[in-house]
Amino acid sequence: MKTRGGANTARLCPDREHWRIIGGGTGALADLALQISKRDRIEIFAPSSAVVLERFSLPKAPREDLQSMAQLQLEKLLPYAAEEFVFDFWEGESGEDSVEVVAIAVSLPALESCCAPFRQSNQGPSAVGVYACQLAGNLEGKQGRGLVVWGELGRVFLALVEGGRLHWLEGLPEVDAAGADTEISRALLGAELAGAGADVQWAVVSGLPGWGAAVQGALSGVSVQEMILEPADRPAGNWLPPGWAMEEANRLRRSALIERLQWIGLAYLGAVTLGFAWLAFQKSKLNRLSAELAQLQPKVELANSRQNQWHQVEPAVEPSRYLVELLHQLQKAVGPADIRITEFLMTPRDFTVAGEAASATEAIDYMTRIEKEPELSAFRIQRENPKILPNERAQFRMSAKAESHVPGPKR
Amino acid sequence: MNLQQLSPSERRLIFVFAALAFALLNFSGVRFLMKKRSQIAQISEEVSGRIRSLEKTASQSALWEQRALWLKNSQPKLESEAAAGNNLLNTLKESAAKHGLALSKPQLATSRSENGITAVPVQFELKGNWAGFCQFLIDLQAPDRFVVVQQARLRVDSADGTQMYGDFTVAKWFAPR
Repeated sequence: MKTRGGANTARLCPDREHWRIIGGGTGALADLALQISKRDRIEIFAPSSAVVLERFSLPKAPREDLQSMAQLQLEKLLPYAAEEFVFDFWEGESGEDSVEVVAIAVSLPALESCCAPFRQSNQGPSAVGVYACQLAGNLEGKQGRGLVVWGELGRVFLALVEGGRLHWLEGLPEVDAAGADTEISRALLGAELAGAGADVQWAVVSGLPGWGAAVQGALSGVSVQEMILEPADRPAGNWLPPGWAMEEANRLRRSALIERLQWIGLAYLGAVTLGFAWLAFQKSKLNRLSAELAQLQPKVELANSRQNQWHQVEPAVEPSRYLVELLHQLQKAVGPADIRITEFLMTPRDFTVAGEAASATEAIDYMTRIEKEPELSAFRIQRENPKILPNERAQFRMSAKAESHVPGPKR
Repeated sequence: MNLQQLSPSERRLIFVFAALAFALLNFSGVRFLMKKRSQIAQISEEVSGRIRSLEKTASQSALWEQRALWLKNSQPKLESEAAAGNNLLNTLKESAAKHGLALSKPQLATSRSENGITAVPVQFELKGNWAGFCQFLIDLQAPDRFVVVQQARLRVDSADGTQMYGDFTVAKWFAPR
């Protein structure tokens, strides 16, 4: 059965010869312990050999008080010290002032011996039941009192059951089926004497071939059913020693903490993985860009070489670099001003122009217009300060150098 | 070593040490990631910028290809330097005469090749009026003629402002052989 957190519950009960996991394998407890996952919750049903059933009357009181009274009573009745047994009880018929209590005690040393393989590996158990009570629990639907006979760890046990509750329990001495009817009759007589009431109305024989006839022999006129009786799922009581309960609570708390830490660790690991994945993604993006760049490179190199080729022949094929075009630009900038160009010197890479203006201001204005002329933007223009001539005209000179590329063969 | 065998103070010490180591490890890890992130971002930015610039150049590749093709088909190839020089000189003389200019001291200069282009230059002096000069210069250069003015010195006659003098070195640029 699955519980919270995905853990299963492993229920262990005594079988006819060994122990078994309900719905699983059989074997010695130590072997079965190895088959159970550390995460699983363990519930164990104590063997009937470790159980003592006592019946007594107590004054009517709330269950908590009855529990304390029953504890004192059992300490008197049982051959164990107070700390050597664990018990649970149920309330039977009640009179005016008293109530009949059926207390089912389990020997702690016997329980410790059963649970040792699990306790050594810090696996619980989480709950302790009594196998006989579990069998009785599965017969809740039967009307009236009945006798249940079953084999458990090599012995045969008898129990009186009514309303799904255990009223009396006894183990038979080692006998075979043939002579069992006498032992059964003797045991039932003992039950009657113990006040358990042996008016049996039905009988169930579980997993004991040949015992049906013996039971029938002991109980004339009672229908005997032979079947495989399975224990009820939920423990029909609580026989978990208080110290164990505390240990179990601690264990559960610890495992919850570990589980929480595991989740935190997982989240942390996820964050780290995410960080590195993001880094890898960025790196792959960069690689893609580099590949794109490498792919583009030859195309661009070819375009650049074509461009250079063109720039080399630019003075021959680009009209804006022609001599007449340069003269046109220089003349256009003169406009209505009194400016005379007196000298013009040109090479494919640069040109120099000298002239005279009516005044220094006109000369400067002219040179400024030349600098700003968009058609001459391919040249870097340097100008000298105008010189004033004896006739008071201003002589100017400026030179221009092609900025872009060094064209063709030099002179 | 079993933690349960240790005293509470030892356990606390181990816990503090482990927490510090863990914090230090995380700090280094985060720092490493941040450093890598900034490096990658910077390189990505550089590469992206370079790609944008290259894409711009590549987008004009058709134009440059077209121009290269035009150059290949249009630029004349040099058969004979002497013939090319003489032809150029004759053309210039005809143009000067046509526009009423006096061409003097014609001379073939030494040809030279550079950057895959062979220049065959001629030198001459020119005298005439401004209008004739302009017409001559208009005829001199055109994209399909591959004529380059290697040197030009233009002067206005100081005595007669309508007259101009020019010393020219003009070359025809031939395609690589």
